[in-house]
Amino acid sequence: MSDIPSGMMTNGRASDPIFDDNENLFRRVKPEHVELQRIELDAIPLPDMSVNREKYGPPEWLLIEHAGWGVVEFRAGDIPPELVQDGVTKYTFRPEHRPTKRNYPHSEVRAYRNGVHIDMKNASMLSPDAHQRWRQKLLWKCKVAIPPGSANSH
Amino acid sequence: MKDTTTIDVKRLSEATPAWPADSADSSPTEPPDTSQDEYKLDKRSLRARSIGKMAVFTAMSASVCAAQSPPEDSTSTIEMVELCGCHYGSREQEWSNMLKGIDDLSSLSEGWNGYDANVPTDLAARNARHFVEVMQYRSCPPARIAPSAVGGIGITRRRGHRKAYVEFFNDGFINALFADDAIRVMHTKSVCPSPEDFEDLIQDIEEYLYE
Repeated sequence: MSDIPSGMMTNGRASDPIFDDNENLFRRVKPEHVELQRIELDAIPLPDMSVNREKYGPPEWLLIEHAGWGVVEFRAGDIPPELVQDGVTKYTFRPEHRPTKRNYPHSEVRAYRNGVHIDMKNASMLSPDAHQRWRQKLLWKCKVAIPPGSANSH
Repeated sequence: MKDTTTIDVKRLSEATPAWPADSADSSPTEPPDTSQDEYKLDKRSLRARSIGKMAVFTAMSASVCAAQSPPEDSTSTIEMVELCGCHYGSREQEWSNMLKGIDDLSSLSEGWNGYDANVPTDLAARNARHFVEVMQYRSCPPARIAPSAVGGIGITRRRGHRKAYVEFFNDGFINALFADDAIRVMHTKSVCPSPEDFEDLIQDIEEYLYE
């Protein structure tokens, strides 16, 4: 396993729940998910989309052990905060800081339905229609931070 | 690439040499590039009139497959063919590779996207495969077939700043997204895994991309 920067280790630090709207969130993507500046929709998942937050580390950290991959970014304030389905079901979305032992900047964009957290176990709570619409809305806000195969992607 | 508008009809038999349907060569060489004045194309219905032998032609951004049929009347047009707005016709090997590629997606490992993406299920692959078979029948090749980070398979057709993205979820749901990147407008459609729904969807896609 590659050495990682010391700043990446959590070392007992608490999570930070505050996200400024202008804070960038970074997501690692496979080379085939980016063509020039176009990012493919199948690079954007739900639920619990893992990202790294800019406040605690640069996008390059996502490429450790993933040489040749790329990084896309979007601002925390660009996350579509809610989606209403059929005028009844309300989904909300927000970033949450979820550090792991070796990745302090690790965060997740989480989805909630009527206040209940949607994860992989109950992913069927998120309708396919809402799924796609939210992901496309976010995709329109994404930019390529590190192109796949560039110098910074090692 | 110019938009297809209208193309004057000429008798196919008087046009360029045909590309025989029963050719032993399953991957024929490039068909002759007929000029755009070979067919009358209705852009709205995506149908064009042609006569005579099986052939595949390029016509600006569109391709036309003409069914082989002897003309009953030498002066009348014979076959209505479907124009799918894709590059020239279906090559058996390329389609075969696409279908095999779908089958291969099930052999991905969990976390194939560097995170925790699920592998496409057999159900998603089966539905995607059937859809691609209908695309083959309609000679509308996808621009992209790829596993989806949400688990499942995504199939894309594009034209300019518009795309149609059909997602085959692992639980069997199928949803299509139509998105215009220039004006950032989209709509979605739920799809049943039936040949009729797939045909309708492909028609919707072509109308959306070419309207």
